[in-house]
Amino acid sequence: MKTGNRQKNSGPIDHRPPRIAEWILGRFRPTGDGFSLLGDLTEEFIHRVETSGLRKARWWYRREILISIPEFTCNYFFWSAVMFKNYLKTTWRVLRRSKGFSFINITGLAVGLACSLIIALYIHHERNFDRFHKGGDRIFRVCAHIIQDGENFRGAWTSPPLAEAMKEDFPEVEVVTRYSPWSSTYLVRAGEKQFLEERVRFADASFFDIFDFPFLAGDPKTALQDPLTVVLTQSASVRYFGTQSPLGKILHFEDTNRDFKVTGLIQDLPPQSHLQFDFLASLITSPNARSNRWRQHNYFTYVRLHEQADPEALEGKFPDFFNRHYGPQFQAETGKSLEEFLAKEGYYSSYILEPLQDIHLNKNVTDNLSLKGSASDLFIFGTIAVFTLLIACINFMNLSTARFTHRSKEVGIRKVLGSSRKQIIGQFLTESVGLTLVAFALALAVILILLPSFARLAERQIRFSDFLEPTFLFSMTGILFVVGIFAGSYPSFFLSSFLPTRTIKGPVSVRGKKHLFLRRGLVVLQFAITFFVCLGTLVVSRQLRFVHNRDLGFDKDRIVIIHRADALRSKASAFKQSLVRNPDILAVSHSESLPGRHFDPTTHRLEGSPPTEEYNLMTMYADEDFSAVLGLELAEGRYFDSRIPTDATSAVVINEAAARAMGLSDPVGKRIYKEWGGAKPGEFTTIIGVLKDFHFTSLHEEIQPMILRPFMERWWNYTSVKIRSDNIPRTLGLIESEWKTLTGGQPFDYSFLDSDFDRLYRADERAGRIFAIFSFLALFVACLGLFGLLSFTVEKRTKEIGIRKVLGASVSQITALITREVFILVLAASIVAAPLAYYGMQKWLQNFAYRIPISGLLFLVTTLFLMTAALVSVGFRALKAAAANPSKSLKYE
Amino acid sequence: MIDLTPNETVVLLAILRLKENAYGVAIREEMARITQTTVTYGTLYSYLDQLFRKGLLAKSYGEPTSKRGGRRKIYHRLTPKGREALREAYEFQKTLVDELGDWVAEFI
Repeated sequence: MKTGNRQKNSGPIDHRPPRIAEWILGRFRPTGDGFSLLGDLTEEFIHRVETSGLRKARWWYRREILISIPEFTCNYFFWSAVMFKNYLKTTWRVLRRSKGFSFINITGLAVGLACSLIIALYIHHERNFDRFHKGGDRIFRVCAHIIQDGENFRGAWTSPPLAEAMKEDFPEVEVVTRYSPWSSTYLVRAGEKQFLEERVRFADASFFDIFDFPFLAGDPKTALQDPLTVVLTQSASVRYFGTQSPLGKILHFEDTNRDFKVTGLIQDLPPQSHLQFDFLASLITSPNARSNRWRQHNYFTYVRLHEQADPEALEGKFPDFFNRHYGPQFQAETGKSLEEFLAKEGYYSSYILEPLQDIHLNKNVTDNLSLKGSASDLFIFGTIAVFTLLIACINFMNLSTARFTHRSKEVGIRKVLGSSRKQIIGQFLTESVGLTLVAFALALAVILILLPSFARLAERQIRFSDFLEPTFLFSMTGILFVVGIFAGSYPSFFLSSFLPTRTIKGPVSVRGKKHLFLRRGLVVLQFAITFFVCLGTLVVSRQLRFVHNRDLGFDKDRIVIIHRADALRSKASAFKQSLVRNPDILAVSHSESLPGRHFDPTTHRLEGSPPTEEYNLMTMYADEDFSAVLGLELAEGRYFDSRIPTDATSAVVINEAAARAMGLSDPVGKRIYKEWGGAKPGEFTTIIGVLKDFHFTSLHEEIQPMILRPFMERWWNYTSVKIRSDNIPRTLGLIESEWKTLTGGQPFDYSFLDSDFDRLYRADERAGRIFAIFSFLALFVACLGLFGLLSFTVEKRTKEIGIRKVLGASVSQITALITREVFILVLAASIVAAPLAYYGMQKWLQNFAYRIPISGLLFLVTTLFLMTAALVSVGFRALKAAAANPSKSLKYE
Repeated sequence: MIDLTPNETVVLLAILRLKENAYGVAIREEMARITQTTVTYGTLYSYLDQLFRKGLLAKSYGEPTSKRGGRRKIYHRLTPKGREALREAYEFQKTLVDELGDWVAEFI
């Protein structure tokens, strides 16, 4: 157009004013009298060219434009604001006019947003562990790296002398510290107050040099310098000393019978720290801390490097370093050269540096930290979040587009009144960003309600206030606008493309099979996902019911477990005897372990078999009442009997699995080498009985071969009490008072065997709950998508429906016609999802050694359920369309 | 009473005097003649916008001419409200002069 103009004007006047004015006016004066202004400028420009020459005229022109820019922009902003106000008004009107539709659309987006925001929050939480230490990028955990038979093993435990050797050998190392991660329960006492403490850890004096845990009292440099000193967190201190300063106070550790002096008070640890403790005692308290044995692996070693140091170069020096230090010791112990040994066995052993901020999510290093995160979980969650948001956006788009006929006239009128296409796009984008903001507000409300339960499910301290973190807030705002613009993009471009003459004449019919196919595909996809999670929920809940109802081979009900039972010391039998006198207590047993708790395998050898033929049997020490408490059944022989003296020394009981493992058809009377309890070489112990197999571990595992050895006080952890069901609180009170009398008032720490055992399925129950939540969400979103699709097709087929009705179709026939599509889509989704769901759930079930089969019935039930849900969600819309008066829909022709 | 700034008054005055020919270039020239200074087109058009929004001006469109690069003129004229505003402004000025004229003159 511009070139055309130029040619037309090239006759009498060859001098065009600079083009810049048009451009600037185009930017800032979309409405108003821009053309006339340009005309005026041109007129005067030409006049000036004639009077004072082209150059001066041009200069004048440019100056004129430049000076006027502020005026132009004022005008621009004024009209933008006016139109913006109008857009908001229109949005509000649209919202009010179709309340139901707006409600569904906004809720859908809100649920999608809430779901993905919660996940985003979770991921944000998990990815920001250990960020609060100064110079954190120079802090590393030194981990052992072993390659054996081509398999990599990286473990966080390292030897006691490692730290000192590192500091001496490598100038790159600025500070080094050791931390003992082992947990055990301590009874801690200060004056009258005593509590059981599980979060007691030990560390070197340099610990607080590397890690920034703010001190409220005491000196971080010297706090852990001396043996028998301890640093407390604030909440631990309040527990013992109230508001008093704990500095210089004494804490008595009952189990080791030692007094620790409090030398420091720190703030409670932030939740985003892989180091978690309430008490940090000085490591040199333990003699083991001075050990120089490289074969021991029991501490975490942390280093902070100098700023110029290159961690990779340092890692390269480790293999040599390891051989230099461990070599002599290895030689002395085994008489062999370490290097030769490693080369011969194809064995590699060295150290690696694990960056501090990677520790939380790094699954390549084994460290058994209880708070450990999982990068792959985060990936799955992240995918779900993106996917949910995407689907919610697409549904939003679909629903908005489906409503377009109601807006096409508005677009037409706007265009006739002079709106440009750009403005209409702007209008709809404003609208969709506005709706997104409303949805966001709603999503925040949803999050506020759901976050506590989610945090419990994820076992993390995620709080709503985390939202207010600047970086998070900033990225959220960005995402919101992207979502709003993305969700509004299709409707706005689609709607703005109409020709006004067509839209004003009558409703525009939608064309394009392509779009419909895409829409159907999306709905199928959504229902396929829903199918997957619904089936998952069903399978998980049925499997959990199966594990809870399965006969375990012992009776887990009404058994009280007393922890730290060895605090009774020599009063084991006194405690037992005084308890069983009570009629409400049926049996009492002391043992090393209990079903659902920890078992260690040890090797056993049958009499007469060669030394190479060893059997790994799960081992436990238990007394003569163990089988009575648990209600175990014997397959052969007898159980320990207190009246037979040899039972206490040279008798063992095995389970059926052990008999099978050792290939014994008639095990009773067979003898096993006794290699425990201070036995002399050549001593034997006799198998006196075989217990029927019982599940002493969860149903995730097969029943392992097991051996019960006679009870020894040295191996005593638990006392289990079988009680009658009536008046349990009174019986518990009785046990507690007896315990207090015999232990001198130590706290009574107990639990119930059945709930402990059920806790073994906590991860599975979590999976079940996550499946349930996602099936609900997925179902909601999928139904929404279906509703959008159906609204769309119904709009599209209004005339068809009208004609059918005129020709005599009944309401039910039309309804069937419309809903037939729903059936087909859900069925297609089920067929698509079934094999994947089968595969996925089979994979999950493989966690269990004992599992239910996935029957075809489950698939059928899921499909039917989805169909019902789909029908319910679209039924009303279909009925409404079918019942519509044909004279209305056909009026326009 | 509709408040007019002095500049707005000048614009209205110029349009009034130009009668049928009140478009951008002419208005600007007329204003320059009255006040002895020129305003930029940007300023002029923002005055015109404001006065139009206040309902003091009405527009009509002329024919495009090649002299103007093929763009139409916009002709402005005063609405009754505009005339009223100008009359009020005139009376206000007149009162000022009547009441204070001689008195002020002594000080200048």
